[in-house]
Amino acid sequence: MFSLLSRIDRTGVPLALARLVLAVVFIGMGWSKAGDPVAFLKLLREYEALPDSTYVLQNTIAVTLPWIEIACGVALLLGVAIRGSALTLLGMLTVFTVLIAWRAWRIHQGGTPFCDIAFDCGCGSGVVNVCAKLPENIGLWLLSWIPLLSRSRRFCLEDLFGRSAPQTQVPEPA
Amino acid sequence: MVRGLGRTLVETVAVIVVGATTGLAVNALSDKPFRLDRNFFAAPKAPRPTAPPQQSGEGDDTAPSTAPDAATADPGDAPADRLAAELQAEGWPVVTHEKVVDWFHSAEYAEQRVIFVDARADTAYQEGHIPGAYQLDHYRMEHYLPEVLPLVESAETVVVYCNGGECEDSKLAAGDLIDSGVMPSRIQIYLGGIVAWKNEGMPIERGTRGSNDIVSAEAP
Repeated sequence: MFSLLSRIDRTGVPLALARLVLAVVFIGMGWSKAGDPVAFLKLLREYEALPDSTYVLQNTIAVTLPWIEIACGVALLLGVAIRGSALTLLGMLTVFTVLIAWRAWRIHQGGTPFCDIAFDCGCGSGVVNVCAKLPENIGLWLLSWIPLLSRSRRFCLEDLFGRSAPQTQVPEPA
Repeated sequence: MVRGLGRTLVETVAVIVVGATTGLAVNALSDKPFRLDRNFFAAPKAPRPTAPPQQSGEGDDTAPSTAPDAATADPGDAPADRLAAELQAEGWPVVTHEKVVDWFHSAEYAEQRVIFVDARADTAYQEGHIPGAYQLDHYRMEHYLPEVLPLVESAETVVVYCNGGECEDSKLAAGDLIDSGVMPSRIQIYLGGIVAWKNEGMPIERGTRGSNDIVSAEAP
């Protein structure tokens, strides 16, 4: 099983597909938020995750986070800093998926059926239904593990410039 | 499991630094930078109005208790209802759509004794505002206050509005004016905002103030 996965990974196709999907999604989401930090700040406040006294941090997040998403997307698209970008996306997806679920749960406690809940999660895609957004985020979260774990560097600038990925020490099956 | 952990962490830091630096640089170089050190949602420092203000004309249209948008003291589930109840509880005078229309057609408006202030950002303002309204974007107020403040200080009534509904920018912009020394009793909040204005088929002015590009909003 491990050998089969390893062979598939060495083709570079799973990595290329994951990079492409993540790059398109995060460049798009980041770009839609980057031009209006005020709107993003208002949406961040809706989560009530940070106290009001952290307003400088909240303002800084509103200005920088969309560009961090874009930077990750561009890096993945080009095939540089792949693991670092994937780890950053994993971190952001983990935090925001938990926040979305938490906010939805609070609304649900008010009597609204869970799958009737829709709000603008600040993800860059407008008002979304929670029962669609959570699986989407989990899908992106799972997808982000591919560039983090893949040993392939095919179709990457890193490979083009001769920077090899950490080489596998796994012996080939007899 | 994850190989080259050290290099991965270095890459992570590098990506975050590049992204964050780009964001900060873009903000700093923009026409109207967003100030990172300002608490945009802090309550105004100046005392807020605690009683219905004395207005020239029919004061009954301006008292919070008679404003239909805010008349329901019971905060409903909708964010707009909650905002209306919050404004009412804090003593902000909320003005009805009918009264705003009266003012719009009055001599007082033509003489700038009544002034409308649009609390929305550039794009929204330029897409359409109440004809003659001045812009005061709460989030970039330092760019607008020098022009707006002298006019507001000499006016008898200042009607502040934003999108309407759950938008609280009109309240925040009113707070900016109070913090800048404007008497709270002169300020009115038009809670229906531009959405109510358009829904009633009232004219809107596109572009900058005084552009004379005035069109009739189509009632839904």
